[in-house]
This record gives sequence, structure tokens and C-alpha cells, in this order.
Amino acid sequence: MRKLLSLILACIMLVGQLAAQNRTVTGKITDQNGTPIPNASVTIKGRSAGTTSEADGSFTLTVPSSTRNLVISSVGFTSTEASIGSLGIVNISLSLSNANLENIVVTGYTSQRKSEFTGASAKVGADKIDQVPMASIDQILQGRAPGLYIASSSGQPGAAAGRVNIRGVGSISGGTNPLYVIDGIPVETGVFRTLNPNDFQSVDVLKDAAGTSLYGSRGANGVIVITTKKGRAGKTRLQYRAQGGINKPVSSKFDMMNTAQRLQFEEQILGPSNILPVGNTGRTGYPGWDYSPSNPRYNNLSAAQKQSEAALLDSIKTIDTDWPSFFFRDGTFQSHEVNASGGSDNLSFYTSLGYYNQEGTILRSSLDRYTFRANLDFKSDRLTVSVRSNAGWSTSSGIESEGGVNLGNSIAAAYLTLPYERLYNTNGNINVAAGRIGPNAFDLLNTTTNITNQFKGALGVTAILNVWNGISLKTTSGVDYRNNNTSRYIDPNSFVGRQVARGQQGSYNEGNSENVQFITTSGITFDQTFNEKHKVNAQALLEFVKNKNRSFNATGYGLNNKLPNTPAAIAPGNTTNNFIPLIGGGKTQNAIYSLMALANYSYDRRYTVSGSLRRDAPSQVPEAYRNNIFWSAGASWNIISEKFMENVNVLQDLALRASYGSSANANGFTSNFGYISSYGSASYAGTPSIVPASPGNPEYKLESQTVANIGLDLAAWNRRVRVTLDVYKKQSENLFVNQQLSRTTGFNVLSTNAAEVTNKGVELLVNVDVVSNKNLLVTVGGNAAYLKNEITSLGQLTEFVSGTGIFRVGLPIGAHYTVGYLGVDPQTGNPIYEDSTGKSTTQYLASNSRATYGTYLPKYQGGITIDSRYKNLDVSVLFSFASGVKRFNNERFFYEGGNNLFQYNQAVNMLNVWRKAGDATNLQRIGVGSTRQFSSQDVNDASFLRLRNVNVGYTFNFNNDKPIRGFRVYAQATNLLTWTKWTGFDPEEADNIATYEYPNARTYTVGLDVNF
Amino acid sequence: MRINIKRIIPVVAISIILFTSCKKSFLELDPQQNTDVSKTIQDINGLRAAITGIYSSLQGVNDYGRSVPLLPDLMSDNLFISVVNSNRYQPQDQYVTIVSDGNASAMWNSLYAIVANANLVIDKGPSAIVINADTAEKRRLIGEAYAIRALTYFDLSRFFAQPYNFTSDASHLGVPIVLKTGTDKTEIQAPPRSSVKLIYDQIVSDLNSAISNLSAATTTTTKTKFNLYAAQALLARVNLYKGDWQNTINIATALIGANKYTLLPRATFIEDFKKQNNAESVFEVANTSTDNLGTNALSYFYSQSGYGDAIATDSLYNLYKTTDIRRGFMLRSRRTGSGGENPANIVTKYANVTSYEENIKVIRLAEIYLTRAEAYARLNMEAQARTDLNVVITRSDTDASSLVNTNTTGNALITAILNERRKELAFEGHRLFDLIRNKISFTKIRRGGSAIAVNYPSNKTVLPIPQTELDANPAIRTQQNPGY
Repeated sequence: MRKLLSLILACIMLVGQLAAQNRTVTGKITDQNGTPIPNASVTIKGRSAGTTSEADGSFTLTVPSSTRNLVISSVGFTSTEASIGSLGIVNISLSLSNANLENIVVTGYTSQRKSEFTGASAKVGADKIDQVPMASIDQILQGRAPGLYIASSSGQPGAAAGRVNIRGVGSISGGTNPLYVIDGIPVETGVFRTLNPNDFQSVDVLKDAAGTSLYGSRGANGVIVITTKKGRAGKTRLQYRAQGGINKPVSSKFDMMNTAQRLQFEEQILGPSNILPVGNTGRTGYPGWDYSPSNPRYNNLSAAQKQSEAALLDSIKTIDTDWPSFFFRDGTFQSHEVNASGGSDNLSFYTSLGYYNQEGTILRSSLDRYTFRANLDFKSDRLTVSVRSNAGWSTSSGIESEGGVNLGNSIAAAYLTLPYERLYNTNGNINVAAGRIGPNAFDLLNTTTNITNQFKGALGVTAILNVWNGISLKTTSGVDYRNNNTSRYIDPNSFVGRQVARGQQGSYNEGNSENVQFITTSGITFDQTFNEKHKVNAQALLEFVKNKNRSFNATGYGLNNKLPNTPAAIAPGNTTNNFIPLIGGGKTQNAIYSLMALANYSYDRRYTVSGSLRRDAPSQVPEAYRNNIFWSAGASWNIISEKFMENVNVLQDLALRASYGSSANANGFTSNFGYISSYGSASYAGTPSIVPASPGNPEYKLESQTVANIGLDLAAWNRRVRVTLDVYKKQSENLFVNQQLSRTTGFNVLSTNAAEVTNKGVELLVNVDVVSNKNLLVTVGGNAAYLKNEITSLGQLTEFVSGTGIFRVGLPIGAHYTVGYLGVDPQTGNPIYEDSTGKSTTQYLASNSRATYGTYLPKYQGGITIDSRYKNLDVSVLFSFASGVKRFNNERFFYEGGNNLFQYNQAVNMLNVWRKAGDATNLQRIGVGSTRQFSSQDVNDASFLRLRNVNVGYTFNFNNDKPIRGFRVYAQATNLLTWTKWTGFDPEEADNIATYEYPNARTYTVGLDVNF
Repeated sequence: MRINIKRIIPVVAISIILFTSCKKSFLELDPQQNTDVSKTIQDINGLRAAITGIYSSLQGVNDYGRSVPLLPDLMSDNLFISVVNSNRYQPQDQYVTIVSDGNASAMWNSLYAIVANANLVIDKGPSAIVINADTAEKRRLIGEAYAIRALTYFDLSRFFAQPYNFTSDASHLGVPIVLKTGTDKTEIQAPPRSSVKLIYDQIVSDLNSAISNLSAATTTTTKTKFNLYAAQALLARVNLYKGDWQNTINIATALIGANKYTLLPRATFIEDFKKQNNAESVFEVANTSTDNLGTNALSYFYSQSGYGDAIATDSLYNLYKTTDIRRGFMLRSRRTGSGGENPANIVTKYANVTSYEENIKVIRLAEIYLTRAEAYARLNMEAQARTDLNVVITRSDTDASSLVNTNTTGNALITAILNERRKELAFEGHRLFDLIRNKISFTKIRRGGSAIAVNYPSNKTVLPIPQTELDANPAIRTQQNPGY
């Protein structure tokens, strides 16, 4: 240590100050409204020497007399050049901007200038997050950052994105979600609905080793670093924000039959094809055929009978129930927020209170959210303390069987119920009975509840003590806490309540699940610039992370039907009444202990090298494999700062970056104790007992990964064109895959670190200021990512089938695996399939399945943005897209079910099924032996281009002295338009198969922000 | 400029403390949902829980829960699958089992899981530390593990290998013997098949260990666990299968002489048979109202309120005289469902599909009598054989003419004993093995009266080594049973 310090000292001694003739410049820095900006950086142009402004915005700087210009910059404002007048006074007002913020990369451990960051990262600023009428931050990020693929799997208000992948998928059976870090505190993945995205200042997406290796064993899936807003010294700002609007259901891309069409279908197709019984069995429940004169039984009827049946049929024809109209609705949306920020030199604060209410587009679904945040920053000459705290509570009411192929699923019921069925019977009651899809599903929404109350809170404290000359002690500690209280009530008086298996008298369930994560990161940091050219940042840190998760739930039966929705109604259970309560739950935990060292060295803002070394000991692997070393190395060359670029006027920025490093997927473990040979619980004749539950794997390791990245940053034509290009190769190894075990071990398979996957890709971010003048700014931007994902090894296996997909060496993850479908034979109406070599065959054999139908991981995805401002009017537009993506349309299998599923309502095009020789159609005949099979016709292109968000606003700014400083009104729409070939509800879903998921809503809102 | 060393020292000190503290204990987490195997069987409670767990595995649908008592009757002349069925056990009913057959592989997996489980207790049990008062119980529990392992290897050998006397020295292929549990690459992950002789040696050795451990301890009265007599009874059956007649007689005689079990009286036989822990039962696998297989239960497979797929053959039904109470284990009725057989012999031996409180009978006293009778007959001690046989006949049949007398000798006596076994132990998982271990060819009857001639020796009376095992275990890959 002493030696090191001596060395540092020696370096400092070298810093020679050239004596020169100097003069003093003073001035004041304010924002557009005249509010002083403290801590703004004032530097001499072309040098790094300078000062910062005081709390009142004033500054004093001694400069060489030759100095003509100063560069003034402050976080959140556009960096501005000011010429020094002859009086040596510079008063300047800075305009708000995100351009500068965009130049800081926050990794969670460091904050670096983008030009001195050697890795690939993307930033999304508050202006892109604020005001989007969605509750979950991950959903908001869709289309905003190149290489960040986000797909929603549910339009349920508050639902998290179903898939968040940074640069493809690097695990076969483990988790693929990135690590989320808010203000240095890792938070639970996928639980964002009780956080207020308006509190977020910026989101940094770390994509390569320079960022992810810092997180070592948890970095493999990328890291999303969120920084919340903080106060600035100066006048206290108070803001009220309100937004209101509606969520509208999106229309389906297919039409279901109405009553006339359905009756025609029954009479002309189902009946004559011998699918519906004929003759003496009489009525069968399909009126179109039952009462048809073409039905052979018709001839045996008396004239009176014929007349009465005709009358019956006529009355049925008058029913034409629009089932979706009962289940879908226009939901309301409103949000209110008050936030305040301000502070003095030493203490600043940001606090907000938010309320958010959204009704879903399907009956009963809603989210109510209350959030609170208080961020405090304290600063003295030696000590900086920042406190980040938030707490929120939300209650969400869900639909039934969401995302399930289940007739209780409101969406399935809305489309599969026959149009001549009624919701209400003649008494005005819901027409429930066995087999009545629509009425039962509707009744379910009214007689049951599905509620999740969530409390989420996080608290983080960072303290930095400046010890001496750039050496500081730093500690960050925090906790992220989440509690879900779920409740489900089934009314004992209801149809479904009488079918509850235990006791047929309803049920009352409450469950509680809790996740708590602690972190503490402490160590020494060194941050110093020597000789104005040598900038060094180094840290040595120690980190503990612990995560605990537990759940408990209980269901009581035999509810007293005189009592309301309350646990008091539960009857004590015994074997006679069969009301025995059901109790369940679980708990688990994991921990990581880490040591790490990071360093960054920049020379003259031209050359930067960075490196990290981290040793992680995760509890999820056996002791023998706990010594995991991760490292990264990176370099960047800021070419624009080179002498030879001085005359290249067209370019304002040109930098080359490269990085390489390792990380692992400790967050993706499917079990915290997967390596242990363990017993689970069982029982025998009423005695609790234990049975072997897992075979144990002494060679259980982390899924590891290396990423190589090369990037280019470029700005040209006065920064009107800005481009970032990255090329990467990500190699994931030791991926868990089930290997067959001799059954004599007592187990079938052993999860083994055997598979390998490669992700290669290119990412491009382009922003062009098409028009840029004082009054009008139009920026068109685009980000796109190309991904090539490939399984390169599966260990002892070469492939294995999983559901409707296959994992095979040489193919990407998510490849569909099914039998090829060539169409319908016009002569026979039978479907024609492909055999295993692609030749046509009339036989359907699952063994002829092939893997040539694409994958559900998009090859290309990204977003297109248009941001424009004319004076105080601003318009911003976001399109998001994904292409080269195929999904299995299981919904289609139902509404084009033919033989198999004719009892459900069918799509209108089913009237075009093959009926006689010569019919050219793609829909196989209906009739005995013509089973509708899953085949390649169900694997459909789910590429889409979506107008994700449009926002039009107008800002009024008043004189600074007025009680109201300004306000902004805006209107926006989300999911306005979608272009796709997909015929299901929503092409954008997270998984391989469409199973009546909750479609995303189209939202229209208007909003108002008032600044006091 | 001077370095203020006083400032640096605490920084370094704090760092050193932080960087070295409490790391190990921080990571030493124990699973909270499951119990680490190495930390489980360390005391009497762990041992108790583990042994109870093995019994709980015996309840599985691929073991005594359904497949083990069902298949020997289905694959012989006692049962067939109705024309109206839930598509279960069709390949076994049709004698078209293939290597990838789900029932065969599920049984193989399930039985070896029990072996592995028993291995853990046998391996780790002896080193469990218990107080003096519990030492006897500890020995008993380990004894039970030996008995269950013997039973399971016996079942594996019966289902997946030809009978003991298939070759004169029983040198034909049996099943792999694994006596340790773990994921050791060669010893456990890739064991080859042992000869049937070695399997039976292992079974006998395990049963002897069981008997010595069980006799040292107080015997549990519940019949849902192995006690000394249950282990002896199983050993008698194993010796019968081996053709070791004298040992069979010795063991059976000792067991009968112990006088712990009595045959249920004729009047209440039908209803008492179903009762838990009845006086005749030696060993049974529990089913209770809270611990049962539900729709996977054996009773659900017979009951016409359940799947009701398996129906008794007429040849079995007609074997019983009208005076024979055991005809009451069937009901001549109609198979539920359109097109169902009418009349059909509905099996009611296991019929409870409401509370499922019917234990699966594995060994009962009547079997011991018939076992001893068969061994006596083989040793030409025909009088004793007839006496034992008549004990069983008298209990069920009031017709005195049903009894055997000195006119029945030689092969006729053997046949009479085997017929009685068929009648007495129908639907209890014996028939197929009783036929093939006596090298008897038979006719498998299917629905609609269609028949399959099964001539001894047949490749198809033995289940295939599952394809999944062949895939995972290179040592067994060339050892598939002939015919598959």
C-alpha cells in the first residue's frame, strides 16, 4: 500500500503547472427559466482544466489570457460554448437536453463518459419512459434499444413483458432474463408493476462484456441498469401530472361465424358429411342440421312437426349473440402524480407520489397502483450519501385461465361459443349449465375473484467517503422487497362453486409469497486525473448478495353460503364432509459472495483501456465449483480526438471500441439446490415420509459465457447524423440439458452442463436530424438488430423434442418441429402431408416431423422513431418491429378444427372447406376419417410492424416569477396500428405458441403536466 | 505533500476485515424444500422417514398401485381389456409390447427408483446414531429396507427376465444388480444385466439380512409394513420360484406354525378381504382416503364407476363352482359404455372408487398354504400337499366334492394346486408367473373371445428392457430380451 501511494505521489509531483499570464472570468449559469444551475462544469475549450458553478449558479475561473471560449456543461443540459467578453463576464442559460445524459454510461458500479466506455450499451432516457400508459417498465422499453428484444405476453394491466432478451438466448433450460439493477440494488426480475416508471431518469442496457462481466456470475443475460431521478440544488420544483384515457380491445384478425353462417355450416357441411348423427337418434343439439329438410329424419315427420320445427329454427335464427362484446370492453385509464424536487448545495431531494388505475379490455381485469419515492442526496466536502427509497402497493384483478387452452379462458370462450347460444335465459339469469361455454365463462368472471395485491419496496444507501486525493471508501447497501398476497374466492352459490371437487360448496384461497434480496457492496475506489491526460478509475470491491423467497397458501372449502367473500365462511374439514383444507407453500434461498476489481484508464480522451476481474462464489453450485473467475478487457480509440482528424470537418465523433470477457448465468438456475442429491416429501398411510427427489450432480457448474464485441460510434454533419454499430459473438457453454441416466440410478435424467449455444449479431442505431433549426427539429431514428442463434452442442444428445419444438444441434433455439403440410387434394379433400424426406403423402405420421419451419426467436427486431419539435409543439412516434419469427398458432387449430372441434364456433372461412371433387381449397374435407392434425400449416409468420406509440404535446413556458412556471398538454396513443400476416390475436407474444393469450390493448390518452 | 498514513491505516484495516469475514458461513445454505441426502439418514427420525418413503413408492401406479398386481393376470388367462376402454395396457393385452412401451419403461423406472431408495437406507442406515432405546428399531428399519429391496428385485426379475428354471443353471440374463445409489459413472450409471441366478442369490441374501434384522426387533403389527413373517413369506415364495422345494416347505411350515395369521372365514371372506390389516393378510400396500392414487388406482381400473377397462375372462369365472364364495370377487353384469360387453365379469376384488380405502394384498396366508402344497407335491409328499390344498378349498367352497382326495396324484395334483392358486389369488398378480415357472403354455383370451396362443417358452411373456435404458446404459445395449 505504501509503495502504491508513493507511486501515486510521484505521479502527482510530475504535474507541472506552466506559469502563464492569467485573467479571471466570472459569470452565472441558469436554465431556460432563469433558475440557477449549480455544479455545472466550466472548462476552457480544448483543455480539461476548469471549475464548477456554485449553488446560485455563479462561478469564478482563472484562465490564460489567450483563452477565447469556455465550454459549459451540466448533466441534463446541452453543453454550450460561450465566448469570453472583454469584461470577463459570462452569463449563459443552458437548454435542457438529453444529449449529454446520453453520453454517460451508468453500469451500476461506474458512471463513465460514453467516449471512455469500451463496451456496447444503449440508453433510454426519461423522455421515452415518462407518460407511456403502461405500468411495467420492461413493456415500455420495447423497440427502444438495439439488441433488446421485448415481447409482451399479456395485455393484462400491469403484466410484465413475457420475454426480455438482450442479444438472443444463451440458455436451453435456464432463465434468460437480464439482471435488473436500480440505483445499484439488484431487483427481482419481472416484478415491475408496483414501480412508477415516471421516477426513472434513465435506463442503460449493458450488452457486452465491458458491462456484463462487472456482474460476473449474474451478467450472462445482460444487465438493465435503471437510474432514478434526483433533485438538483436550486429552487424547489413541484409538478403535477395527470393522464386519462381509454384502453380499447384490438379486433381479431379472423372472423367467427354468425348465426346464419353457423346454421349454414351445420346444415350444408357438418350434417351431410356424416359428422352429425342422422336418422332415428333425432335431435342432437345442432339445430342447423336437426331441423334441416335435408336431414333424412325430416321425411318421417308429420306436417305439424315440420311446421313446429321450422318455427323453432326461425326463432333460433333471431339469436345472434356477439360473444366478444360480453367479455371485451373499453377500459378506462387514469394516472395522477405529484413530484417535487430541489435542494441546496449539500442536500437535494426528489420525491413523488403516484396513482395509476387501468381497466383492462377484458371484464374484471384491472390494476390499481399507489407509489411513493423519496430520493435524498447529501454532500459534504468529504462525504456523499445518497438514499434511494420507494414503496408501492398495487392490486390487480385478473381474468380466468389467462393464456390457457381452456374454455374458462375468457378469450377462448368469447370466440368459441356458438352464436345462437344466449348469455341469459328467459328469467334473466346467466344461462349456466354443463357444456355452455360462453355463459359458464361469463359466470365465472362474476362469481369468482382472482386478485393479487402486491407490496414492493426498495431501500438503498450509497455512501462515499473521500479519504485522500481521489481515494474513497464506498459502500452501497440495499434491500429489495416484494410481497404478493393472492386471493381467490369461488362463490358457493354459483355454478362453478357447486363443482368444486372438495365438497361442492365453493372455496376460499389466500396465498402469500415474498421475495427479499439484500446486497452490500463495499470497497475502495480511486479516481484521479493526472497531468490532465491520464484519467484513472479503479475500484476494489467486496459484495454479498442474498435472496430469499417463500410462499404459503391455504384453501378452505365448504363455504357457508350465507356469508360473503370471507375466510370466516370456511367450514372445518373432515373426511366425511370432504372439506379438508389444502395447504401448500415453499421456501428457498441463495447467496453470492464476490470480490472484484475494476479499472479504467484513459489517455487524453483518446485511448481507453478497461478491465475487470471478479471472483464469484454462488451458493447454487457445489463447493468445488464456487471459485468462479470472470474477467473482461476492453479498449476504445476515440479517433476524432487524433491530430489527423482535425481537418476532417464532416465528422464530430468517431470512435472504435472492442471488448471481450466472461460472465455466467447464476440468475438462471431453475433450482437453488440443483446440485444436491435430495429427498422430497411423500406420505404413506398417513405418515409423512421422504423419497429421493433429485439425483444430485457433484459436477454442477454455472452456465458460462464469453462475449466479443466490436463497435463504432460516429457523428457527422454537425452531429446531425449519429450512428452506433456493434457486432458481437456470444458463446454460451456449460448449459444445462437433461442427459439420460441409467434408470438403475433411481432417476431418469440428470441435468448436466453439456450444451453450447452461439449468438451472433449486428446492431445498428441511427439518428438523423432531418431538419434542425431554431424552431423546428425533426429527428428520425432507427434501431435494428440481427441475430443468428445456433445450438452447437447438446452433449451426449444431438437433439431432443420439447412440446411442438425441437432442440437440435445446428438449429436455433425455438425451432418448430412438426409434419409438413402441402394442402388439400382437390379430388379427395384429404390433406396432403410431407414425409420425412419432403415427398408428398396422405398419411399423417408424427415421425415425419421436420424442423424446417423456423423459430420463435426473431431474426430481425428493433424500432423506428420520429421525434419532432416545432417551437413548443412536439410529436414523437415509435414503431417497433420483429421479423423472421414463426409461432405455432394453436388458436387456429380450434377455430378451424373441423371434425375434431366442430362443437365450437368456427371461423367463417370454414364454410370454404372441401366439399366435392375439384374444390380448390386449403381446408380439408369434414367427414369421417378426416382428422385435423397439427402440421406446418399451424406454424405461421408472426413478423410484425407496430405503431407502438404516438405522442403529441404542447408546452407553455411562463415567466419564472409566476406561480405556475409552465405546463404541457399532450395526447397519445399506443398500439395504434399493426401490420402483420399473423392471423391470431396478437403476433407479439413471448413464447412459441399462441394459446388465447390476453391481447394487448390499444390505448388513447390525454395528459397534462403542470410545473409549479 | 505528505501521505497521511494515519488516514490510510483504518481504510486498509476495514478492507481487510470486510474482505475476509464470514464468507464461508454466508454461502452455507441448506435447501429448505428438500433434505440433502447426505444429511438425512443420520438419526432415527431420518431413518423412519426414509423407510416410510420407500413404502410410499411401492404405492405408485407402476408398482403395487396398479401395474404389478394387474399385468400378470392381464397377460395370462384371467383378464382382458374391454372393447370400451381408456387405452391403457393395450399392448400387454394384445401381446404386442414394443421396446418403447410406456408401461414397461415406467415399471422399470419405478422399481429401480425403489431399489435406489432402499440402497440409501441400507447404505447409510447402519451409521445412523441412535439412543439405546432405539437400536432395536434401527435394526428393524434396516431389515425392512432389505425386505423391500428383495421384493423389488424379485418383481424386476419376474417381469423382465425368464423364470429361474428357464435354463438349468439359471445362467440366463436377469436384471442389473445395483447395491449403491449415486450418479457414479460406471458402477451405477452403466451396470450390465446379471444372471437370474445372481439375482435370486441377491434376493435370498437380502431376505436373510431382513429376517435377521427383523427378528431382533419388536415386530410391528401393521401389515402395511414388512415384519419378520412377511419377509419369511416372501422367502418361501422366492424358493418356490427357484424350485428349492425343501426350503420352501421349511420356511412355510415355520411361518404357519408361528400362528400369527388365520384364514378369513368363508361367510365374511368377500367383505373382510377388502378390510385393512385383516387376519389373513401378511403384507399389503396401503391405500387410505387421503393417500391413494385416485383415478390411477387399481380399483378405478376395475370399477364400472371408474375406467372399468379390465374384465375377467369367462374361463376364470366358470372355474368357480356356484358354491364357491370366491365367485363373489366378480359380478356378472354389463360393461358400462355403449357397445360394452354384456354380460361381462366385472372384477370387484378391488372396487372402492370413493374413499379408495383398500390395501393392495401382496402376501396372505392362503398363498403360503398353496405354496407349501406345491412344494410337498413336487417332493412327492402328496398327503401333506392334499391337506394344505384342502385347507384353502374348504375355506371357500361348501361343496365337499370339491376337495381333493387320494385319487388326485402326480401331475393331476400339481394341476389341482395350480388351478387353486389361480382361483384363490386371481387379480393379485400371480397367474402369469405361476404358468411360466411351471413351463405351461396357455391361451391369452382377448375381447370378443379372440385368443392368442402363448407357448412356453415365449419371448413375449417377458417385458422388454426399455429403450430409454438401452439409450442411457451402454453396458446393457446388447442385452435386450430376445424378440424385442
